[in-house]
Amino acid sequence: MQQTLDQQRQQTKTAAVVASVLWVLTTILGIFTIIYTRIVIFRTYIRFVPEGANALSLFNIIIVLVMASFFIAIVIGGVEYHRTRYGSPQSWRIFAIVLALEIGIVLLPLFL
Amino acid sequence: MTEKLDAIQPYVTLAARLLLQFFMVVATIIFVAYALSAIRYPFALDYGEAPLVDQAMRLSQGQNIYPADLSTPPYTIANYPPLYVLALTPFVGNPAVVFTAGRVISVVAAVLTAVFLALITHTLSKNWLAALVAAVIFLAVPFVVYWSSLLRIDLLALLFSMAGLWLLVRWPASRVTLIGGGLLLVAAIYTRQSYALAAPLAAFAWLWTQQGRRRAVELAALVAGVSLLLFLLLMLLTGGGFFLHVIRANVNPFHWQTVGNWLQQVGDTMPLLILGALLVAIFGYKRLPGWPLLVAYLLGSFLSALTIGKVGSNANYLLELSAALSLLAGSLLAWRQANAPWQYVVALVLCTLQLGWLVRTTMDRYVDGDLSLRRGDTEMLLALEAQLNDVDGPILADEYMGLLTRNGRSLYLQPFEMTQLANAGVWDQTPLLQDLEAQTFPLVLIHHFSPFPVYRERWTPEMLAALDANYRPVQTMAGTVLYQPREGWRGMAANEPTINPTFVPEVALGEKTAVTDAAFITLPQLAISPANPDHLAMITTTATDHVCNPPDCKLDLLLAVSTDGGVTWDEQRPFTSGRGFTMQGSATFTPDGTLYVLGVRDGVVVTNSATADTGYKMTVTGQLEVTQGQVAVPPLLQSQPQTGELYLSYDSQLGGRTYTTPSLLRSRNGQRWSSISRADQRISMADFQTSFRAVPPDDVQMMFGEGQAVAMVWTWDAAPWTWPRDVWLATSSDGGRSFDPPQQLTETWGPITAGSENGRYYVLYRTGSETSPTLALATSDDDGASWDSVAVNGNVTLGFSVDKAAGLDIAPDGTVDVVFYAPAEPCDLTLESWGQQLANGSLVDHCRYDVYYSYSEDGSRFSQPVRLNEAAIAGEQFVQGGGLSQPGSHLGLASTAAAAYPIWLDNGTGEGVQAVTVRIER
Repeated sequence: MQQTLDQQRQQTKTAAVVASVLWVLTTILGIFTIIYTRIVIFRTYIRFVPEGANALSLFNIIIVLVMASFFIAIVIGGVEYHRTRYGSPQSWRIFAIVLALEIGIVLLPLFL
Repeated sequence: MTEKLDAIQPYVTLAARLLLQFFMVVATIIFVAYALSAIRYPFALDYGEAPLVDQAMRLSQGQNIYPADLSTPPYTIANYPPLYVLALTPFVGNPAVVFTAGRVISVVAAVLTAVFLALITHTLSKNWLAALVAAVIFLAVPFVVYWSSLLRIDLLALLFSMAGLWLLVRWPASRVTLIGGGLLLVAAIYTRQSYALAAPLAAFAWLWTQQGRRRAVELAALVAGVSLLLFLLLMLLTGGGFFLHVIRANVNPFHWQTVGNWLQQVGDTMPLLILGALLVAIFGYKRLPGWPLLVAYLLGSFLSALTIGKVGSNANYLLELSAALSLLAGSLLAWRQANAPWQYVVALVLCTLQLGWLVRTTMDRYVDGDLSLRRGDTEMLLALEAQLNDVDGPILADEYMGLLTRNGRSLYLQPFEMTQLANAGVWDQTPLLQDLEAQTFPLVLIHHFSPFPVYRERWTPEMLAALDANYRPVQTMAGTVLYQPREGWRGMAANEPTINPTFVPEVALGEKTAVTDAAFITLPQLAISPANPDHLAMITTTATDHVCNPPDCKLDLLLAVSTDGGVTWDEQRPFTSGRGFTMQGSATFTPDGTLYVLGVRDGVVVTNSATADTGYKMTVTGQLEVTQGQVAVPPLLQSQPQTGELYLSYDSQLGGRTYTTPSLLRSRNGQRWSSISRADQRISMADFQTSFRAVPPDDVQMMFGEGQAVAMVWTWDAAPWTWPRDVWLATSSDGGRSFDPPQQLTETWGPITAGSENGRYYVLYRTGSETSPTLALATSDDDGASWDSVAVNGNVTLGFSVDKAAGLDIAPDGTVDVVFYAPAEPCDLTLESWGQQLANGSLVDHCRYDVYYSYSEDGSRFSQPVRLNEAAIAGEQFVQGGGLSQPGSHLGLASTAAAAYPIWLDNGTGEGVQAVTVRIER
């Protein structure tokens, strides 16, 4: 029984460390997503609408505002969410979703 | 370890699935963006669009679009069965919107095809994600993105075939769907005849394995029977024309190399889809639901795709294969999800990467390539359309036939289709050739792509020859050359050169002198004073490095003047330095002995002058800016020998940097210049500066005849980036204020050099063939009305060389002096290798050269050439810029009655080349 409790403590500790590392990772990738979203949208827009360069400054503001909101949600919301749920399936699930989207955005400039 | 992996597997799967879904959204956005851009584009996006509009126009007027008799105009071919054309007919009442309507039909058909692909996948796998993946991958394939936005038949045919397949897959046992599916397959065949293979084969295999042989045979009988009945009906209605148009006219020459090129493109674009398809085909037998259908469709679509080797084929031959690969990808995904979770994760990731790669290929090849190029032409096409609307009578066109149909005009000729029929001996082109000779057409439009000479597949050699002989190119717009009927003589003015026997030269060569110590020089030019034949001036461009690439390397002009017959030279910089380069110098003496020099400084043509009294010292205050309207040709300054009037020949912008034309500026005092006189040949600057579908005019030079007669000569060819090029001549009888329409003088395998003396015109050019050209001199004694031509190079063998013009000057007594480069040893440069090196931006001259001098006392019989250099000149030592060796196109030469002074680039003592001259007394 004592061994099982130790194991559980160890597992909880490991889960907390992994969750912290993943949160840091989502935060770092979050910064890149702002930069890359901007690059990809600008580049794609200009390639399809070469005469529409005037709209870029407006796009710039909108993109940065929207992505910054997401970033804040990931950083602060992430802490709040995972602090109480780390190690739970819901927590891992949210990590999977956020990381998938962030990796998707970071990969996008390779293809667009 | 396995337990831990199993624990995280659901989250990894979730992440991989989300990643794929994210890329699916991106791919869909790109498809929609491309479709909207293409639908909005007002002009033709493909050669094949306008013929379909033309057919719809004829069909709506009750005309037979499959005439059996092709001996009378219109010379048009309806390559496909009529279903798509029928779908277009409601829109032909407003010709301007037909392109939009036709493209919308294609886009909608593509989206519905994707829907049916999803439905088939879902029916087989009961997996909606796999179904969506199949649909989105199809819409992401670059060939599909590109082709689904065109007014072409293919996507509608694919839609019919997919709808038919889905009915048969969904309800294989139903007799109603057997009939419905079969009729949809027939509809596909009667939209595009090649759809008789893949989908019917897949449906046959599917029904056989699901419902037994009898049901499969019933379907085959239905499809074959209805198709045959319709075929017989159409044959009857068209008097046999349906077979000629739909079957016979599609039997074009086939090249396996084209198949290989396209298959390589398929492999480069869809490597993971092909891998997935192979895995399914090999390991899915009896394991994967729908395997017979999938593999039969893959096989059929692959066989159908192989016909892409036909001349004139395009990405539409790959649409069924793209659909097959999408189906297999969806099925593979569903199969692995059900059986192997980690393999499913791998499949998800690979699907994501493949989607990303498909999107990237679409962006690079079709958005940045085709679509961008087409949209860049919009302004020009609007102007061209307005021009065409002012022209009465039939107009021949190829790529931009759509400009005619857009304005409700029927086509007179579909050049590609009729050319293929003429080549196959099915159609007699004689009436069309007679029409060309009779100049029946007020305008002919031939489009050029770069670097492929597609126009040669669209026009027979006989048509092109008739066009060359009876029409002249007046303008390029949007990569299209506009030909108008010739006004003056037909064909070329100069005949094949006469090869007269040479004579042994009686010359005394002085000591060879290096004009300057500068080692990296290019484009040397030499002038001699008519007032004092001992006064010589050489102007040349000097570089600071052998391999001269800005901004590290600087270019400047150097003027060297000799007042002792070339024994000693004084150097100076004739122009103050600009912010960038000063280059492309030219020098001339007026009859009173004033030396004028010209250069291009920071893109502005500047002049300076000095007299012998001041020791020809150029001053800062003498510098004058003449024009900044020059485009590509090094400007050339010449002096009218009688009046001393200055003539500046160059190519000048027209219409706010829209066109460039061979042009002339004149000045009596070097201070004030005339307005621009132009030859009537306008080359779109965008065509050679951004899209490389044309070359700018080159070697623009003046010749002075009797009295007010002058002539401008230059090289330019409608076919870009190839040789030989046409030599054009525009004559003037008012001293160059205006010019008559240009006439074709001859063709040349390299730059030309022009000269004149005592009212006689001289043009030095390269005739003959690529491998053994002849240096020839064309002369005219009647202000360019008629020309004689003689060979100059004697027994010296010339090779393919397109950047080294011979030097030419004529002494006051009529003695013609010529100096030219010839390969010192066999050189492997050919037209093909030159084109490849030019395309790669690496044209370093690896050949070795000798320099020869020859002269003629009367311009008809030349001396045996005399070699001037001691050791062979290494081409690698010429200044290199932008990856190209830049010897400067022309050798310099100045003549007096007593002596000639050639100037050439010879190997110096170290790296680079030096300008070397020698006094030759003859």
